[in-house]
Amino acid sequence: MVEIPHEAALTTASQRSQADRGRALFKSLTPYLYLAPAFLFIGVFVFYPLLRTVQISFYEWNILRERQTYVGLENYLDLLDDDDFWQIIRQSVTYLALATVGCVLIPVSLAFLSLQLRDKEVDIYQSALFLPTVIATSVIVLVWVWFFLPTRSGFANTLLRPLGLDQGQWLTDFDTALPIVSLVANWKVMGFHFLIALAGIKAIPRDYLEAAYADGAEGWALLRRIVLPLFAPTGLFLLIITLIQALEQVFIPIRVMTRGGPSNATNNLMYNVYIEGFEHFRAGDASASAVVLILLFGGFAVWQYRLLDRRVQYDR
Amino acid sequence: MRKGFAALIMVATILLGMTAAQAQEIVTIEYWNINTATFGGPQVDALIASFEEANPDINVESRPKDRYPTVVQDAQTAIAGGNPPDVVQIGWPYLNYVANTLPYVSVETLAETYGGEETLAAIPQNIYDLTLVDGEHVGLAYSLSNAVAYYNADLFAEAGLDPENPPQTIEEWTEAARILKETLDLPMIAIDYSNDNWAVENLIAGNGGNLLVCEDGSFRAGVDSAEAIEALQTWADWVANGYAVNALDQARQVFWTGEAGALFWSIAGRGSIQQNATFELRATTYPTFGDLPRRLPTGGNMLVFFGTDPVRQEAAWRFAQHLLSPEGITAWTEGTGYVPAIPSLVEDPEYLLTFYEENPIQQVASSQLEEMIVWTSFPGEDGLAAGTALFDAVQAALGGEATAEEALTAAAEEINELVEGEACSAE
Repeated sequence: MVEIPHEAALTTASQRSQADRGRALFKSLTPYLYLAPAFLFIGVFVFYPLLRTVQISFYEWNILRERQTYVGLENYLDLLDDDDFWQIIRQSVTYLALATVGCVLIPVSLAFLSLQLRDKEVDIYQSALFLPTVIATSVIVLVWVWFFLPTRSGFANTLLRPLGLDQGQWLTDFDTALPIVSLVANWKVMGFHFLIALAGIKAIPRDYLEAAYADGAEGWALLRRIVLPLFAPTGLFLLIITLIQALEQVFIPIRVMTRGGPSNATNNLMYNVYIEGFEHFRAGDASASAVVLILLFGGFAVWQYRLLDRRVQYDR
Repeated sequence: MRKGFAALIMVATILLGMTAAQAQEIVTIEYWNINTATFGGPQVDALIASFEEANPDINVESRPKDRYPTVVQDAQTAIAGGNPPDVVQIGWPYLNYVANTLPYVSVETLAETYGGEETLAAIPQNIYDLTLVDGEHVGLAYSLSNAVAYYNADLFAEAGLDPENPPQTIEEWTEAARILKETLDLPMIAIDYSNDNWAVENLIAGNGGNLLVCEDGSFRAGVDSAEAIEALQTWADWVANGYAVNALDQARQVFWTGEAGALFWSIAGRGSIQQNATFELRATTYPTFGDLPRRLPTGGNMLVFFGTDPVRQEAAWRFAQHLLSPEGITAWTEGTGYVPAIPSLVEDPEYLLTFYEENPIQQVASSQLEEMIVWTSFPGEDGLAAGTALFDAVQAALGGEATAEEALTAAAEEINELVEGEACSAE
């Protein structure tokens, strides 16, 4: 047996222990290293602009000028004091409400109704509904602009004449402009949401339904007690993405059809950020408006998620 | 010796090849304009094609925008991003805004560096000086226009109105509108207006009002004057009575589909309207309020240069000279309707004489040249926002959300805040 000198033995053990610690450290860091590129990307392109937006909101700054003047909360106070801003908030909420109907309730209802159709009919139905999703938004919007031409031969006026509702000046009318813009935006994504809803319905295990049938459940009871709870995760997903995207998906229709008019009647928080930032070049006002947008709708999304998540059945 | 000579030949050939390659290197410049497909776009493309044919080393890319404010806003964004456009059509009301806010290259600098004095000499001094700010020419005066009243002679005849004697005053147009509405149930006027406020200034100025007033060395809003309110209320009443359709930028489609009797719009749209109208198109002078003199803001634009790269600057300058050559102006006027920047071309048989003789609509615009005034520019960094405030007020009044008085009073308050402290000279 070779005797290892005491000190040498200690050194070797210490080296081994150091190597072990190094390996353990590396092992514990490995997930973070894998995540680092994504974190870096999100940090640079999401969190940094977010923090910078908050910072700019405390300044008065024309984007084209070097001069930035610290104004504290003045930009926020100006917003709160501005009647137009409150009108924009109300309109943003209206857009959300209409999007909930157009992008959640209607596609989900259509998905359930399509179960009554034969497979071939469903294919045709799906294609028809999905078509707007794959066409460029600007093209679709221009078609709708022609649809609502405020003339006697305008398509909408022609269709509505038998009901005595023709001669509308649709896009310059304060009562009709916002619903029309919202309709166009929702119509564009409705097909996509329909497909998600249909996939969610079809993913409900048949044996659950058969078991329920066997127990005598049918009709409304089957829908309410079995189908809807199992469909809830998909429904919640649709609701959350609708909430997140509602103001964004209406941006191009607003831009092309009304530019926020008539007299701000179709403006919303997101479009207002664009107008303030890139039409009026008031970076401070735009940033303050953006911060309000994030807080208001981010908070709303979290609240909605928590509220609904408690009622959602994930276990299948 | 022979080897040395061969090497020399090779070197010379390579050098020549490199020079030739450099000579062939194509410079690409961007031309930003407001000439969409239905508003002079084909003419811009034709002018670019003729320029590129004569200058194969330059490639010009047209970047049409839909309105003047958009051009200014997008140009600002591009400049801030370090990628300035080379030649840009800037609407007349943005002259001071550009002069005070954007890093343009003056005409003096370009002419001194790249020549082209003969092109400048051909432009009459009064037109050339339209771009003069603080002793420097911000750009080259290019497009000039005024508003005319286009009308559908077929609809006039059908409604029992005399197309040979169209209305001349606002009052006469109101009466004609009433007749058209009663006989054919159609609106007379398709109201075309946008956020550059040119159309509404034509209206307000015609009633003796002004968008801005210079008082004690500072600007204040003039849109809450009795004249401005009365003028806008006229439009609002027309819409409310069904005499006019509040069609915003759909007005041209409404008119050329034959579903409105008239369109008060720029002579610059003559080409596209003639091309699209499916009826006998005629035009008369812009209506006056009773006996008040006609006051028409000068529409159109100047060419402003923002490029910083000398090679692109020179290419842009050469392109601008092509646009302002007698041939370029002739093609531009014939295709669009803009009043030529060199008015003498109208009397020149080699250029525009025949065209003018055969186009009575174009003559209407010429007959109004003496009545043109400066298109109001809202000053300062918030000038664009001030323009938006007025545009919102017009929309509110025409949409029936407020009376002209309520809308314009509110707009005046907002404009006053936005132009506060902006100095002016009473002259």
